[in-house]
Amino acid sequence: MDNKTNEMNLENYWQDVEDKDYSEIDLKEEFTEGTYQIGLTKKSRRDFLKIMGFSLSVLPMATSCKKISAQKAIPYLHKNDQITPGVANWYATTNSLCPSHCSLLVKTREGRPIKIEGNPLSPKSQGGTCPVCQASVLSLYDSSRFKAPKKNGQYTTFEAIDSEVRASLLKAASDGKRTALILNSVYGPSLLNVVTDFKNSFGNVDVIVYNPFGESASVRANSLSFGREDVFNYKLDKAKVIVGISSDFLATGSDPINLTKQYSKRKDLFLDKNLIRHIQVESLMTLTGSNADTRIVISHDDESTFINNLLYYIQKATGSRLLPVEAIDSDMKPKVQSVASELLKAKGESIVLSGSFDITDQVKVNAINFVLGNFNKTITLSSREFNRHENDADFVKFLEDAEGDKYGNVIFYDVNPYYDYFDTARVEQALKKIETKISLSTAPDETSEHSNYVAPDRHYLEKWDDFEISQGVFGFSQPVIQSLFNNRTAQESLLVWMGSSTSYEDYIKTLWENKLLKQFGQVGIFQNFWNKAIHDGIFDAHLTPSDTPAFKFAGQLTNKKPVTASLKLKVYEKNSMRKGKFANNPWLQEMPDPITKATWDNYLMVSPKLAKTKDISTGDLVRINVKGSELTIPALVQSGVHESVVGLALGYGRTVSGRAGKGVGVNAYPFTSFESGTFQSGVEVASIEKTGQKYKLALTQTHHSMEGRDIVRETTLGNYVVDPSAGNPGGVKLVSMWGNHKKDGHQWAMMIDLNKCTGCSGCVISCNAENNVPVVGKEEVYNRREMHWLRLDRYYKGDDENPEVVHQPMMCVHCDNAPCETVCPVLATVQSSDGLNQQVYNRCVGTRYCANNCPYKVRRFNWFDYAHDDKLENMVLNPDITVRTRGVMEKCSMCIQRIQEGKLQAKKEGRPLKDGEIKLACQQSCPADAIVFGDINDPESEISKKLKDPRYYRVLEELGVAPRVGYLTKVRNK
Amino acid sequence: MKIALSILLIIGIGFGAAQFVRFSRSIDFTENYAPQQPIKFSHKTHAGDNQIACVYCHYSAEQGRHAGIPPVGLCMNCHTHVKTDSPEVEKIIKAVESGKSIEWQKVHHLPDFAYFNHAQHVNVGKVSCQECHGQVQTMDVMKQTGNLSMGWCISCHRNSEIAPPQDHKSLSGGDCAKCHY
Repeated sequence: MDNKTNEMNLENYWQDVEDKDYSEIDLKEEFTEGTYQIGLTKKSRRDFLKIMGFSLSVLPMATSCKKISAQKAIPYLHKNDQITPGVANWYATTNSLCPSHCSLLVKTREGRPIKIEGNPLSPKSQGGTCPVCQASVLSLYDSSRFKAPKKNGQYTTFEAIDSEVRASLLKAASDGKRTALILNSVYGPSLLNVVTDFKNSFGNVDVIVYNPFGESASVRANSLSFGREDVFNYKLDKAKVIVGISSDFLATGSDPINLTKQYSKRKDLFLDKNLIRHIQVESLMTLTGSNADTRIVISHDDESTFINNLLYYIQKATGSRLLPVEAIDSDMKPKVQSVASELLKAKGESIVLSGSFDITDQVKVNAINFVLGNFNKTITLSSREFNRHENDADFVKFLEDAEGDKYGNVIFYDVNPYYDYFDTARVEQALKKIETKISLSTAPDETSEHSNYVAPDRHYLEKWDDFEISQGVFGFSQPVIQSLFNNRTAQESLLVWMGSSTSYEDYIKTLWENKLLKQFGQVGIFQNFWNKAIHDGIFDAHLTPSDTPAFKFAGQLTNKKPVTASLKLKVYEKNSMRKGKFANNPWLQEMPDPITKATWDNYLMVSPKLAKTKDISTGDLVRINVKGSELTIPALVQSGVHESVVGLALGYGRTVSGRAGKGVGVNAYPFTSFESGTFQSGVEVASIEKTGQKYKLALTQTHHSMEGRDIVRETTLGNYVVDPSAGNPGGVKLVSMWGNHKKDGHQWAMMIDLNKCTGCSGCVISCNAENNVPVVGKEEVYNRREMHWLRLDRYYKGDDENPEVVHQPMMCVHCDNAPCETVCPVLATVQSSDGLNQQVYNRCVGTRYCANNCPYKVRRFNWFDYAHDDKLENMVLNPDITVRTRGVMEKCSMCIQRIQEGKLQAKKEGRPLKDGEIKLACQQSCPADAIVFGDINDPESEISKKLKDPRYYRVLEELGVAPRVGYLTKVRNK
Repeated sequence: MKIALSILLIIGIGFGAAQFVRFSRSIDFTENYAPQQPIKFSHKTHAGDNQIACVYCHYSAEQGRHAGIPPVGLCMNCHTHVKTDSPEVEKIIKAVESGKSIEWQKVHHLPDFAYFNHAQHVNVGKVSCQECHGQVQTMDVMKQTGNLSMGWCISCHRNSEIAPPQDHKSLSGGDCAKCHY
């Protein structure tokens, strides 16, 4: 090995706080004994012999019976001109489940949706998707969804409940009582119109938009600052410096995919060598923070102080007196000043984002951006006519009114206050007085459990809808499958109850035909417009964005008093579980958290320093005392967390849910509060102590450390500008004992840009869906038997308290000289003529030698026949891919089915394959465009060109295995 | 004596093993399988005597993975006029009227781990239907001709002399993952 590489190795990367000292890696942890148990009970040798004898005698019988297994073939009654058996159809639609409303393409086979991909036509998501979008197709086949409407817990019919609900709505009007319609943030013109019609038709309806820990604070702040209740559009691609203050904008928030797209463009060294500079200021370690060039760790209480002082220094430097603020004494002064000076150097080319739930903080952040001249350059107020944002105070007022017996009816649409309000006892008590409670939920949840009537809504893949996803840009949803159950679009339920008989589809069409098209100056035949809009999934009215008005804050700023020296519990959102709506999705439950690598749980995130003082280690059960109540919860020691904060993820602890979500983790909402107009995170922890008991946390990444090898390579922008190969010494001279493979025809290779990958793990779920990767459950993940073909390795470097982080996607690297191939006794894994390492399931006898010999630890063994007992869930399986049985090894196939399909298409059309025509599942879904795949024998292909980049390297190149998957070094702008 | 016994034993074991291998190789191979169908449909009458092109009914063979069994409605293209009084045709009419499709017995089985695409062979490779399915136009009852084993596939791929199209280098005989994924 070259000497330079050895020098590199001295950089001390590590993976986990407790693994930092290599000498102390617990080998017992790495090779857990339990790994070799089969099933839940131990079997004795005698049992084994009995079973063995039985299976031997049964075998010939079973096989001889199987000689002809009669199967039926049932054709369609009439030919559907859209469906050709074995050929996929793609439809555009829009995800209604989260506020970003990503535009999607849905792959259907023989009429059932099996895979979701990003729609490249969307100006916002631009073909990217997040884990939640990818997993949403599985929620369609959730067998716990309501099969029909319910009255007092009993299934009934829509006809039966409709008349009763309408009678109850009319009764309230005549009794002088009111009806509350509580819904999640509204994004679509049609829903908004239905709600308005509903209001007008009864005259006693209050509409309450409820979405805790959403946009409430920032929308209120924008209303105070600019007089408009709008959200921002950020233009990260035009910024030089961005400062995120406790804002996880790349992972959660209202627009993570759009922002990741922009962010990664500014991290692309092939586009621009002047990389964006990202400073993150936060108390917990977030995905966004892990991608920052500089990360400043402060306590939760100091976040407000930081914003205040940042505004103070920026106003002082510019001589502005926009807001009367005074500097608050704090030991963060040098840090704030350095951030201020960097921002001042990038006036009009910077963005400050805050994830604070405090209105005052958000007003101050607006002032900072205004003084810096960022508005109308890098930030605009997105004037979305058809959006209505949440207001936390409205819901609290509703509770007060309900306690005052003001309401006769309440309708819940896409909200779950019995779970996610911080004081559920109060909700229960207050709503007891309301006579009729109606839930429009798709699946059982805590709120539908308390409702008299359930009129189940459809899954978004079963219904029509429209959304304004950006100013003048509309996304359309269309049903891609006939409704699986006896349910009805929520909007249609509202229409029926107000006495209308229009279907929601017609309602949307009429609205567009009669009103919206004229409003947007569209002329021509409506059907043409409609067909195109539904085909594309997107309609862009190309409105000129209105200018953001001048900052004019007239009110009085209420400064939160900085509280010091107390431990705070801060709740946060994971990019898999989000706020709890997706709890019953096993793909998301099993997705390792990008930072902690934990699955199937939430836990108390504890800083290494606090862990040391309290003698806590990962997996310890700790008892915390918050708001007068005690809670026992597993702890996870997480680097980069401030010592005065402990973190707890939202979205867990669901009590009413399907079998995947019920009882997983603890509910974090009770540890929040309502103060100064918004729901607030960060309650005081009175005490925290170890219980002495252990808890099994299913982590996917305690069992390998980097052992001092340069698996990830990185450098700084300064060094890169001088020498593009900085940090990537290369020069490994290898002598191979193998003859070279013939390299004609197509030769596939993949490359991942570590500078662009944010670690969001959307690719993991995309791979799951494409390749029928099974869910194994918490116990099996704990036994290190997770099945993900693609994993994200996360490495730390430097200081325990504030480490630098690198995310590295790792899958089968398709070695030319693959070590797995040489040890397979049955030739079940062999090299293909186009350079892929093939795994042949029907040859595999399960010796697992290959997994032992794989230096990248990417092979997965089917220890069991994983659950396929849910017939409905099986509908999501990709019919082109084998469902692997017990005893078979599997791993990334480089989406061979996509390669074959692409080649076949080209052959059918009698033309050569075009570069970029074949997109792998991980590559397609990547919102950061970090993955490039193609033919290295085509000199014009993107990958051939990028392979020559001096940043290119291959992991463990010195082993001489010649991997086909390579990486580009990470370049930090610091 | 002992030697003779030992030799006999070895031969016996060898013979048993050979039988076992032969037996296990034939498991699930269903050459000449000709199940009774719910309708006495004759390929000989349709494809042979009346010269109806195979892809008229099996229209997706040129486009997709499956050749498919024609929808019942497609039979009615002709049978609204032809042989409407036949009791077998009546079964079709009944299926259309009742809205319940016909449950045919599947003749050709491929295991889940083997991927076969009709379009690849029919459309790109220009392989005639008879090459795999035998002289279907002479069959009154549909019968499986080849044994559909891997060796049966490979033998054709090794011996065919079709020029590989464009930049696609070979007839993909050798790579496992061309069919197994």
